[in-house]
Amino acid sequence: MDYLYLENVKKAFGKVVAVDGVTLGIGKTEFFALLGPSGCGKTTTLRLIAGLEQPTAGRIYIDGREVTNLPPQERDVAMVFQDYALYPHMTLFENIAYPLKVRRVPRKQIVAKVHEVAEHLMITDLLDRLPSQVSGGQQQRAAVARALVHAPKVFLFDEPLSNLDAKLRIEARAFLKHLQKEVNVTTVYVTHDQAEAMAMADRIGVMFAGKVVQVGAPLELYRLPKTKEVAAFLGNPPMNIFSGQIQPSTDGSQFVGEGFLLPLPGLHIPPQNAYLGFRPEHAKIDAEPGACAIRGKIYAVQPLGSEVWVTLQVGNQTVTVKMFAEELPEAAEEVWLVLDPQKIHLFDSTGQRISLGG
Amino acid sequence: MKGLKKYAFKLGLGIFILFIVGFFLLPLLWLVTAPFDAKATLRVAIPSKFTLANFQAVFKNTFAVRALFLNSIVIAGGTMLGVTLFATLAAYAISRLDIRGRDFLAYLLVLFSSVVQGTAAMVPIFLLLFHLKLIDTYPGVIFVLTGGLLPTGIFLMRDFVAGIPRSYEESALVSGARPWQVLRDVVLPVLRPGMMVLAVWSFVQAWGDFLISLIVMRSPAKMPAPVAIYSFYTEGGTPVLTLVSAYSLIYALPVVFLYLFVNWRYGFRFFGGIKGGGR
Amino acid sequence: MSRNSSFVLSRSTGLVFLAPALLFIALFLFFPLVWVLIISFTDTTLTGPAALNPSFVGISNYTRLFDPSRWMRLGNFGSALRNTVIFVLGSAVLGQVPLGLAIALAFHRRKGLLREIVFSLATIAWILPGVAVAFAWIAFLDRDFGTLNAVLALLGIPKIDWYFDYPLYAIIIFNIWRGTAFSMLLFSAALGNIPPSYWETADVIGASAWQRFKDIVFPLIRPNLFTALILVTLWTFNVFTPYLITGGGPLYRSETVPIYTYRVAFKFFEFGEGAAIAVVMMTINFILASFYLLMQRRRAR
Repeated sequence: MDYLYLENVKKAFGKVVAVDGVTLGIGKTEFFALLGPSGCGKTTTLRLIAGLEQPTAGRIYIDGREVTNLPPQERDVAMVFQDYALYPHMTLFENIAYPLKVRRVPRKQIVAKVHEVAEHLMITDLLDRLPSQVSGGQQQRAAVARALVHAPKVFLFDEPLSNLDAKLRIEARAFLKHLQKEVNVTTVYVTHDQAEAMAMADRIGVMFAGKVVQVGAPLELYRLPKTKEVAAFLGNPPMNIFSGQIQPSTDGSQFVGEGFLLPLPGLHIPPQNAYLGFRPEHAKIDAEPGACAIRGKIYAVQPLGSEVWVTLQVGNQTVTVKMFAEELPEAAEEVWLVLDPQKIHLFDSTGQRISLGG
Repeated sequence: MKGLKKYAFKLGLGIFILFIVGFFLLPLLWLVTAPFDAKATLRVAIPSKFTLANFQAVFKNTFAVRALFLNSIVIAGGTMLGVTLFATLAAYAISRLDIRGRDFLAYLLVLFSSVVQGTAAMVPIFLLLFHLKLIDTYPGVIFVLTGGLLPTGIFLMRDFVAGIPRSYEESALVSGARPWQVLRDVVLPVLRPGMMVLAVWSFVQAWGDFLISLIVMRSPAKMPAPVAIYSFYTEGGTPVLTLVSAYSLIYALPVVFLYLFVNWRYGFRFFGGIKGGGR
Repeated sequence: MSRNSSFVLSRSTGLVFLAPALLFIALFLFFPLVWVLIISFTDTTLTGPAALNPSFVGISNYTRLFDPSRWMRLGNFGSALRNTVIFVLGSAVLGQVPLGLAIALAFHRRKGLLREIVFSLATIAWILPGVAVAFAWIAFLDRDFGTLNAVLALLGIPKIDWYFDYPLYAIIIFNIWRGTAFSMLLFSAALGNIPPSYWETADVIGASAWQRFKDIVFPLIRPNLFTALILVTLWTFNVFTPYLITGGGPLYRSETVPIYTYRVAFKFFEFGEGAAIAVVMMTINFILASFYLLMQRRRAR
């Protein structure tokens, strides 16, 4: 069995089902991200692992031991909260030492361990200060230190970076990822920021409405999303999606959208209502049409330095394409949106992926 | 013309402020002049014969001294302990426990404490204490005062407790602490400022209580200061001004000090939300 | 956000935490409320035959209170009620609340020593023990030596015998002095919550002080005004401290309902009658308090 295993876990608050039959297996030392929009149940799932909530149904196992009915203090996990939860009346030292203090670890060992962990997180000089006297980033590291200090079996993070400003957030990402590799503890990391999850996790579990919709390595989820929601959630700018119908054509199929027709040469797909998606970096804007192209009008151009985001009006909707500055055609109103048929994603009317065999 | 209007407005404001200062200050002056005057009258005047003999005379009256420094302290202190302890426990439990009809209970509490106040409650409370054999006892007075102050006290604490994030307690639990450790190490220290406010407030309320002590206490030895002060009357029924004023001042001072302390430490303000809680 | 009970407090421990407070409240608030209702229908006294064997007398206690042939005479319930209405209107509705508002407005956005002095003085007047304050006011109101008459003399007004000629006015003025701090602090906090940009916009538009008050301040503090009026009315209605200054006299001319209750119940120990008055008092309290709570709930939605 996996190191951390959730078996068909369900959690309902009265009539509201927050976690709807989640089964997950997470390996020892794995960095696993739980990703999804607000209210999808990822934080509740985390709290179920911690023992701060009791599941309505299902079981939870850590390191082979069933912990479903154990209170948090007996599970040997550690958690970093979104607001860090540093006790305001204790110094950072006392905060970090607290898990050891309640386990009645001898004083000398406590001092040694706290200093060790503080050095790791580069806050040794701040140990005598109160939480109110240090910055947000330092508070966050103190919270991580407190989680580390008693060598837990599982590390739980509840959106730990969301209270940091943008620049600090990027720095902290790299820091945490490196730390996790060093410490080698099983980690479950909850976030709504897809870039964060992509950047840090070994595997990601995407959740919508209480269910885990897809689990896999970041790139796997990015390249082969199982549903339209997963596809749209990952990537920045998000995947462009058209709705319409797939119909047969002379050399394969074609996608009939609102006000346009997109040839799909070489692809033979049964006719149906469908969605077509493509990522902004998998399309081009050209003055000349290609094999798989639609007409569009330039709506807005956003030069971002290394790349340019061009938003086109196609039919009734807008579509964003990512390209390098050099590739932009001369200022033209009407252009062609050229897609790579190899990189197209098709989803059926329920949002499920249509696999493009052949 | 606009300048004149503005000037008139400023003048009016100035007169108003002057009036207000006078209005609040003047009645108090007697309390700080008469005690130091060997020939105190009802007049407010710089003492012609400045003296501390009035205070000496007060302290000679053992009955009154006992009333002030023993009985009043016991009653106010006991009420303070009772209200602070029970209101904090109750507020914490209400806040953290998912009790059905929690809000309804809260409104009921406020309703009760507003309805059953002052002399309206005196008759049944007297009879109740009578049957419980608590007439003329310290616990009798303390219990009644505590019961009267608890609803408002719980309200004051409830807001405060609600402001403490649950993540503090949850984090302590996940860190491995047993519930009683969480309460001792995390909850109690964080609640301390609120408890202090509660303690000061309930002490001041009980310190000033006149009616309940008057009704419940029967033996002179147990009367607190507000009742004992009437022992400084002559046989003819007029107050001995030197002693009454000195005694009043001593009696009033602790409240002044507590106010200055709270004002210095926390600032004496209503931070936006009022849920009742006055006299 | 978890709506579950916390694991720190198990249900049983939590109930143990609640128990003492609930016990006190049940015993000293709820129980008296019920009991006083019962007593009011009896002729209970402290001593004498009716103490051992109180008998049920129906509503005769109440009818005696409201007996139209006598109730308005000085020393009876109607007179006390009339005094109380004047007292509440004068010192709460037209006194404490407007004055508190005026002070809060006067010092709004003006910091400094003067503000500290005024606020401290008003607050001390509010929190000093009743007995001490009562003696100070007996001195203040004295006809021959009192400071009030001395100040009035400076303005050319002859001495007024407050106790004998205007006892009700005397306690009205006293009560305004005593309780204004509450309204002052309440409105001060409320005014402080108005975003500065509102004032700045008014500056730019060039609104006069009166226009500012009418169009900006008043609408925003209306709920606080309501809160203050109801709470202050409730407290003023029940306040007992004026007894220490005038004793309800002379000849019951400054006797309010609480003082009347005390006199009936504890000077003569007519508990049955005292209970009836108490029930009437509580009913009025109940109406005021319910009104207040209903408004709060409606606003909370």
